[in-house]
Amino acid sequence: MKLLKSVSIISTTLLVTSVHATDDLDNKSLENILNETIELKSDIGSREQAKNFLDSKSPVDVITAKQIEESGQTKLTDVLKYFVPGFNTIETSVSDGTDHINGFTLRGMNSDQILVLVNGKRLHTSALMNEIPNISGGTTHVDLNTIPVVAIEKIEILRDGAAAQYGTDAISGVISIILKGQSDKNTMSMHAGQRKESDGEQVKMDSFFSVPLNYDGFANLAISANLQNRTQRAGEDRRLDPPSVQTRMGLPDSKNISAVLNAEIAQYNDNVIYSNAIVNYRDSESSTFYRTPDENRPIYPNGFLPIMNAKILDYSFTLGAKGRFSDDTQWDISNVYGYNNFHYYLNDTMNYTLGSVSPTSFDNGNLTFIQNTTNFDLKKSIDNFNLAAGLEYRYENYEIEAGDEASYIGTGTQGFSGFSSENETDSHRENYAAYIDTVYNFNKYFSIEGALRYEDYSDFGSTQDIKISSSYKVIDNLLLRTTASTGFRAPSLAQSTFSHTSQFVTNNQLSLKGIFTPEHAVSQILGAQELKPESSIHYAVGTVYQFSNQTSLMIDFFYTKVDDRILLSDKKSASTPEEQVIFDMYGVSNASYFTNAINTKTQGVDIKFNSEYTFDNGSKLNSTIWYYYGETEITGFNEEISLNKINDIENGQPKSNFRVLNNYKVDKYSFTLNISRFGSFSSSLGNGVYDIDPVVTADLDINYKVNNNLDISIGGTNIFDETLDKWDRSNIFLGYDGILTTTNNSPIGVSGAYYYIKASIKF
Amino acid sequence: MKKLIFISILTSIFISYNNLYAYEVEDKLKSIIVGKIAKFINWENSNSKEFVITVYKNQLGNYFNSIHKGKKINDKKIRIEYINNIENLKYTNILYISKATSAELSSIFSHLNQKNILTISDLRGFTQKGGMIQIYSISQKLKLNVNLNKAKKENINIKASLLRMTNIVEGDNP
Repeated sequence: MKLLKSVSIISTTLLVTSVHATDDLDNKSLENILNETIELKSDIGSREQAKNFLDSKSPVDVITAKQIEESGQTKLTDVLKYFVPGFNTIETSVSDGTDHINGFTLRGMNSDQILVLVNGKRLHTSALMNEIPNISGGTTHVDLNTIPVVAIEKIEILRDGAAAQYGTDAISGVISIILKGQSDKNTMSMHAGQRKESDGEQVKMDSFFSVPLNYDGFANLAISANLQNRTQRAGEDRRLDPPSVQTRMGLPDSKNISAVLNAEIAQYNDNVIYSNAIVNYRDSESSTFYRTPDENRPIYPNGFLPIMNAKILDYSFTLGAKGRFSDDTQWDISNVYGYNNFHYYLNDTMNYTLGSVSPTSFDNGNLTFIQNTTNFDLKKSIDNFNLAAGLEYRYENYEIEAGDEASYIGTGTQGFSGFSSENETDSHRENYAAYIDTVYNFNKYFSIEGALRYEDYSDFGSTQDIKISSSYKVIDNLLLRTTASTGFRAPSLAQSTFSHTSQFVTNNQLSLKGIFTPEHAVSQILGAQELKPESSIHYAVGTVYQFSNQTSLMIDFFYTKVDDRILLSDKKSASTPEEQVIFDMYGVSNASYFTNAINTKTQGVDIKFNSEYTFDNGSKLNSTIWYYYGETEITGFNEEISLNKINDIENGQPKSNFRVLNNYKVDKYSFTLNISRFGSFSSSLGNGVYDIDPVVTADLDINYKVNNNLDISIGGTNIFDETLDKWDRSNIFLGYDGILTTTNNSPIGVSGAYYYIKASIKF
Repeated sequence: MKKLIFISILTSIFISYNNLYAYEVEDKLKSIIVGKIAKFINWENSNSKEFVITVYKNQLGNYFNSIHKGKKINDKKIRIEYINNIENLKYTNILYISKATSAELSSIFSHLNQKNILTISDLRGFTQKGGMIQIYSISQKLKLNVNLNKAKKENINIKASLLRMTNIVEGDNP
């Protein structure tokens, strides 16, 4: 609250005292004018032509390639966390597949309630189902880190509901990634670094090549390769005598290679054929919990550490064409094919049931998601009236393929039981959508936009959504804006069809536990129903004041109500004779399933101040101060959920976030300092809820331009090596003196300070 | 660490008192650039007392009028004309084409043949399609393409000092 008060005072002070910019462009030379930085434009959140993002009817932020470069961040999730306080991402340990694909939230909403676009087209999600309770638990979401940052021209973030414009998932916002287009420089760079603890070594090589084509067309190729060694922050395993560190906690060992092709082939007649392809392959290793020595156990009598090896292949291919009809109507037709395969392998482990003949390496099965989206869009401007309309057809396919039989029979693979033949699925669905979006500019001050979208899904029926937004310029540099929209999120195919069961020894008998589909008899007897879409209502009210073209203040309040949010239920045992009959029939001891469990409301505010100042000596200082506050409250239950789950939803991540981002350029040097304050949050563990104190981190990048072609940088993230509070209890596995000493929901990770050096050449 | 945050906030407040430069409106810069480019052309003598910039299908708002009002190029007072049909084109030194299809461009270029008019536009592929100077943007900076052969063919004499700031582009029909 004190912070909010301080920001308010500062904001008021600025409003009163700011000096307007002097318009001296006319006295500048052409050369100097060509060096002027032009306004940042975005077209997310509206079907109008791209316009200055500060004039948008919805809150929009834009992160440029230059800013990304100066941040020193190497992964897209880290870039977004660096620049956007309402964006949270986690790096988990001992969390199965989640260790290999970073989950994220925006404004407190789940990863799957955020739509991701690449060049304006929907990007497919990963096939991974997050089975572990954390901030992205129970979701299948986009793997943002498949897109190398070297290929990105800018990122537009719409902090607004937009399902009425873009369809499912756009409940809390849209992340729109624009790939580099027409460019004048090829680049190659190398980044190397390690953690303060002398581990987590990382080497990253990026390259970008651009070939100009006729009529300002281009063919760009970006390649990125990243080698990441693991970090180890686990505590000692006190089951051992003497205690020693065995289980891994921290970043996984990871090899990641990406390639992005982006091309536009323009014709003399103004038609353009466009295409992009993004390919990513990741080979990543993390551990499960250590298995202690047992002299009666074959193969590993001295104990063993099962290693999960995830091999992830992800690609998308877009082909489209756009142009104008003779009446100046713009048309755009495209098809995007997206594919993600997550393949589980377990090494250095065994299946106890198979005893001494057990393999020690297993194929534990794989998950595949395919999405094919075809769009046809039209757009026309008539005086002050803009009209857009379009059709969409989408096909989705989700497949679970069982692993080796040895990975799931009996007790299954230690560490992570393989997907069994009973878990296999090959399901698909289709949906059709039609939308209309109109903008009417009454005059240069007042504009209103309305959007309506109809969707029909083959599995659960149809939805209609509407959005109305408006902007009003009270004076030239003061904008008021407001939006109201309904939205929805279709249950993902994975949530409808995913199951992962494994056998455990209970009372000397094998019994089945795990996740069952909502349609399974076990789920049904427990009360599961066919999943229906989450529905939402979103309101936003905000203002933008531009002190000058260079200095602005944005204040945006938001309110999002979501009904029928889909969660993974608590683990349930049979509690009635009828339930026990079904449980016995399938040999089940406990089960969980996806369900439309709760209603929530999330509300908060973003206050963002941007400024740029050029000193007399030509040096330049860019500053951004951004405060975010958001809180989520459960307003209704369709099904009982545990207190732990309630806590994780309402308090499981920082409600407040604060950034002070400064970049100072002088002569050949550029200094970038980002100070972040992550507010307090709490994590549940066992029967307790533990409060985690706020943490403040600093990131620094110092860049030296050797000449026009060569740059070198040194820098670090979390340079003062701040860490989160440890668990507030003693426990072998999860305790301040246990194996995992703090929460997996840490917004700053657990690996501590990271220092790097980077060199890049342009040619 | 709290001190560091406080210092950063104070720094930001300080700079807000002294703003001098700005992120500029793209359309405004384009309008200014047209006037600046004119100073890099060796204009042939003419009897006209005015320097005329004609804007075809204007998409840049009122910037041409507001920026060039009362100013001079080549010691001649600037006059801005707006047209939506090339047939309405009268005497002009510069034709800024703000919006046109490729078919319209062909028609415009045919109409301008050998009339000693400098053509400028921000249309995609403009210089390759037969225009003389194209304004385009990369990474929030405006840049210039010049179709030098086309300019020479139309007797537009561009100074070398301008060419140093531009990319030379070959047109389809040099």
